Amino acid sequence: MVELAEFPDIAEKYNIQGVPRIVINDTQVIVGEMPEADFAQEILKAVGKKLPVKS
Amino acid sequence: MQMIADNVRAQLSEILKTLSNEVTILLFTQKEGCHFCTLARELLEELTALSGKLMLEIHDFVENSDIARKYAVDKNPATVLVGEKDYGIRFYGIPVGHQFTPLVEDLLDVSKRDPGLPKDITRELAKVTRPVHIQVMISPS
Repeated sequence: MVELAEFPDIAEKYNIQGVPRIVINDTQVIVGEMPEADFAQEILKAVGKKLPVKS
Repeated sequence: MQMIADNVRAQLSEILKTLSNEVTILLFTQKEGCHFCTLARELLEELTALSGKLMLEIHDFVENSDIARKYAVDKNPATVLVGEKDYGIRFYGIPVGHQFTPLVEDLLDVSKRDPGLPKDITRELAKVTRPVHIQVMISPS
């Protein structure tokens, strides 16, 4: 967790315009919050794992 | 200066009674150019005083750079929660405001040695074999 007010260079690096934002592996940016299951899928997506088919 | 108000302190003492295993909090600070390091130290000293299960280790980012490197800490103040192993949990900046509740919740999870996720999610995440860097960006108020 990063407090951007204390680290403005991080906000600049990822071009963060609002909070909360989640940055996965420096590449994937998620805006706002999401349920745990969806977030788990985002992590799998970031590491290139095949996603289970949603019913 | 008192960082944790008396009513919050009383609530926290109750919550921290549920801690099962020990948690070590590592705080990295720096003498020069770190506006919030002293306050972060005061906050964590007050917090860890509330439970015998909480240990506080304070490291100087410059003098103990080998320890900072070991925990991949690259800025200050940095708060690291460690149980029987390092779960990769880091709080950068003074952990007040939006960081305080997650800090306490993570203390409870690390103490339990269990993130409290549903089994199907744990099973999915077990597929991840490489380290993943997740940064949650927040700001005050």
